[in-house]
This record gives sequence, structure tokens and C-alpha cells, in this order.
Amino acid sequence: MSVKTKRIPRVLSIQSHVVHGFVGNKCATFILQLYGFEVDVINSVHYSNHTGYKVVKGSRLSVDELRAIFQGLIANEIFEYDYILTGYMGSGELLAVIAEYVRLIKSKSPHVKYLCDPVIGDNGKLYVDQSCIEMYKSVILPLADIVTPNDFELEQLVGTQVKSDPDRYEEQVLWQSIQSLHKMGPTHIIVSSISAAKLGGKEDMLQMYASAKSSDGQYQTFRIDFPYIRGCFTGTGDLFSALILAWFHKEKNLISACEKSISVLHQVLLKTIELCDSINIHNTCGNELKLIESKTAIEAAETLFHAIIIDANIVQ
Amino acid sequence: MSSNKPYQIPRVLSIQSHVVHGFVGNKCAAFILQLYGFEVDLINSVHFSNHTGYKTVKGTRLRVDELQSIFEGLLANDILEYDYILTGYMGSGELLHVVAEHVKLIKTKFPHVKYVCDPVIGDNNKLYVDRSCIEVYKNELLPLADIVTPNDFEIKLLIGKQSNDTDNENENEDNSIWQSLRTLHSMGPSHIIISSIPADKIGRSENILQMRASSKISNDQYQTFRIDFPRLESSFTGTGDSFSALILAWLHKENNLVCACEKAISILHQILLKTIELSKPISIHNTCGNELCLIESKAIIESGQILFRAVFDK
Repeated sequence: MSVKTKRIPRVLSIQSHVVHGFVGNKCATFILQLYGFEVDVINSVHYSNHTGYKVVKGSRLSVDELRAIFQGLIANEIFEYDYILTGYMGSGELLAVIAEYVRLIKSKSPHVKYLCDPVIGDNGKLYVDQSCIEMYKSVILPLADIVTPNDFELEQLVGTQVKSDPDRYEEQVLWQSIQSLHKMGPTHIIVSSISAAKLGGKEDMLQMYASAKSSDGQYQTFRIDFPYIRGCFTGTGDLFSALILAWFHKEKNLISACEKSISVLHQVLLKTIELCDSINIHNTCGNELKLIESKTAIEAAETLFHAIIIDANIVQ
Repeated sequence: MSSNKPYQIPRVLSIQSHVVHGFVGNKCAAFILQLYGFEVDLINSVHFSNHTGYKTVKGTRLRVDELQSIFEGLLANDILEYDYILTGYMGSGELLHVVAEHVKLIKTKFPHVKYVCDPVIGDNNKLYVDRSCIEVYKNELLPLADIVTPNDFEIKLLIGKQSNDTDNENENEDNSIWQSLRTLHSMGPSHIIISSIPADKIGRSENILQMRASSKISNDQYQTFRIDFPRLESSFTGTGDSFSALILAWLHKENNLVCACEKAISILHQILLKTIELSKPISIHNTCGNELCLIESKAIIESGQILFRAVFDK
């Protein structure tokens, strides 16, 4: 009988697949496998490329097909994970099915952590229909442990306006919204890249706000300032949530996970700019991330930006 | 390189199966090739819960019109540009035909492209695909392939040879292998690798397997060699797909087939050893043996240590 060796952590990732480029599962799989995770990959779509290109061809996973996949994994008793990760999902029905099976996994293995990137939209624009927003609020968020909304998505989920004025946030309102989001389920919330100009800071800085709620009701809240990099990129959100999952697992605390993730993301963006020649004219969305070329930076994971702990008194 | 940009990493188009769980097809190819610094475009010919050796397999196959569509999208966006093409298991002759059409298109536009074809047809006298695939491989894909990696069952089907049960002479068997390779060369590929012939078929120890490879240098000049390596007790899935990805990667790095084979077979062997060492419990529903521990073999894959050396034939 051999000595039982500790097995590597297992992730179930349900995101888009693009033949070319890096969004969704293409990002998540590369990052997580590089960091030593076993990744089970359910592709919610199979597209030639991301939707910012002039032409997009391919197919979407139907609700029946998604159920069938889950049933196959269950029947073979390989439906066992340490983490679940979801990103962009185009339909409320798919989200409903996912919630069903996340619930099943979590009831069988209570230690499982579900990281949900609630992809709804950005900059005032919706990417999905109302049914998705309703699903996130009603069935997904109660199951999620870590969520990574942007500021627009935070507003959509808690139903409050984070900014009273189109160009200014109140930090107070932001924290209140985060607290409301905690009440909907997640113990860990990361609101990535709010422009510092919107919060009255320097225009060429971005800010990440995060909050971890402990079991005794205490909040640990912090923020990370990092430079805005000029350029348009796709896949940054998907890259970020994969990094958060990996570093949260390794570091076991949200602050370190965020510091690492923001730092690595920053280096990937710098590498992408460095290596980018002319952008494909059919791609209206800017640069594909140079993930493969960033392998060394991803593995080295140098911390460039540190968290600023927010005084708990500021948060009501 | 496909472009004049010196910093452009090599690009592969890989058309293979996708399994949610485990390592076969594109799951193997993507991990290995990305680790080695390739940009990999992935067309998934199926989307299955797991490989077909499990008690239950659920999922869908890519239809012919869907495959056509994907190619149209890549073409329309001017991103159908590669240094290598890699294909493995494809369930139908129709799908293979669409693949052949587009491989031809890509090679016409970019003559430097190398096509690595694993002609997945079957093994141990059992077919995995329908007969229509064999014809498409013979008539359309082999003429386009630069490197093929058939097993000994597949090579016989491709060259149209009958299994000769009465052929027991070791020397004849040896000769017949080289004849088969020569015939296969004439169908298109300049490089052929038969990754594992059981050595007891050619009069060697039962515990040894042998790889045979051949490069056609000119009309009557061939470089042929063999590599002996130990047979391991356990059974595994995904070894063929991992092998063809390793061959592609090392052929690119080393630019010669002998080195590529030495690297590929050595690394594969170490992955198998690592898989055995980790002795993960196999699902009772998996009738095909161990899933490869590819993730845990990252350091092995990267180090590229050679354990087995080629022996040249005269």
C-alpha cells in the first residue's frame, strides 16, 4: 500500500471557449494549470474568437447539454472539487442549472469555495439580459464565497447607485454597497479597477476595493492603488478571477491574494503592450493578452502593489 | 516563422477532442504546447464529460457545419495563420474532409507550415472510428501531412496491408516494418513515427517496447532509426495525444526528428512513472486505466531530460 500523497487542488471552471485568443476558459485554464491546479473545463460556448472581432462564429452550450455533462461527471463519480469558477454566462437558464449543481457540490463537500465573476456589463452598458441579473441575485450570490464585480455590476446587484454624480464616487456609498452585497451571500468581495479620478484621486491611477467578512461578523476592508495602463485589452477580468482563485488558495487570505493578482495582471498587461505590434483590424476590442509570453512573470508573481487597510470605523 | 516579427511565438492549430475531466486530445496538447511557449488555437472536435473509457460518456460532437463555421470565422478575421497544424481523433470522414480542405488552404497560403497528423483509427485490431475515416486519411490527409504518428495497426490499414498471421520470422517482421514505412512515405509524409511496437514481435524481450521512425530524405534515401524503452505494467489514456504534442514541440525546438523522438519518448516515460508514483485512485467507472498526471509532471516536461537514445539503421 503506497503512502497517500496529497493530491493537487481541483477546480471546475465554467466559461467561454474561444479557438483563438485569450478570454474565459482559455485564460483560466492556462493560469490555473501553470499554478498546479487540476482544472475540469466546461465550455459554455465554442467560438472562433471573442465577440469584439468583426466576425464571430460558433455555438453555445444548451441547457440540456450542460445538464448532460454534469450527469456524466456524477455518474462516473468524478464530480469532486475544491473550487468552482464561473464567468460570463449568456443566459439566465444556464445560470439556474449551474446554481443547481453548485448547490449539489457544496452540500456534498462543504469545504468547496465558489468564485463567481458576475459578468453583467461595464461602463453603463449591459452584456446580458435581465434574467441573468435576477439569477445572480436570487440563486448564484447566496452560493458564492468570492465575487469579483466591477463597479457597474455592483450597482446592478445591490440596486443602489455607487455614484451620485456621473464622475464621482463617494467612498462611503461604495462601502455601503459592498456591505449590502455581503448580505446577499459572499464573504469575500473584490471590486476591481475603479478609476481613481472617480473617487477624487489621481487620474492615472486605478483602485481596487475589497472586503472580507469573517464568521464573527467583522469586516476586513482594504484598497490597492495601481497605475492605469493606456490601451484596450480583452480577457483581463477572466485573467484576474483565475489569479484571485490561485492566490487565494496559496495565500489563504484575501489581502495577499489581491496584492499578487493585481501585480501579476499588471505585468501581463505591460508584456502585452511590449510585444504588441499592429492590432488586427478586425478586432475592435484592443489587444489579446500575451499570456504565453508572460509565463515567467506569472510564475514569479512579484508583488508590486500593496494593500492599504481601511479603518473599520469608516465602514458603518 | 510565419511572420517577419522576430518575437512572435510559434502558432499551432490543434483539432482534437475536449474532455471536461481528464487528459486526452486537446487537454493534453494545450497543456504541453502552452508550457513550451506555443500559442495554441484549439478547435474541439467533441465536448465530452470524460474520455470514452469511462462507464458513462456525455456530451456533443462538433458537426460538419459547425466546423466549417469556425474556419469561416478565423478566415474572416484574418487569424487563420499558423506554423503548425496538429490533428488527432476525429470521429467522422466528413469532419476529416473539412479539416483536409482547410489544411490545404493554410498550406497553400503559408508553405512553411508543418502538419503533424496522428491518424487515429484504432488499436489492437479494434476500430475507434468508422471506415470512412480511413479513406479520407489515405486520399486527403496523408498527402498533406509532414509528420504522421500511426501505431502498427493504423499503418497496416493505411497502406492496405493484410495482417499476416503466418509471419513468425523475426527478420521478416523487421523487414516488413521498413517496407510499410516506405509505402507510407510514398503516400505523402516525409516523417513517420510508429511510437510503440511490442518488442516481442521482433524477437526482443517482452518488457521492451520499440519506436521506429523514418525520414525520407530523397526518392531513394531514408534515415531510419529505433529507440528501445521499457514497457510499464499499468495502462494509461492520453499517451498518444501527449506523444504527438511532445513530438511537435521538440521537432520545432531541435529541428531534427531523431532528437525530437528521443526527447518525446523520454519525457513521456517520465510522465508515466510520475503517474504511477502518485498512484491516484482510479474511478471504478474508468475501464481504461490511469489518467495522466500531466499537471504534476510540469517540471519533468520542462526539463526535457533524455533517457533513451536512438539507434540508427544502416
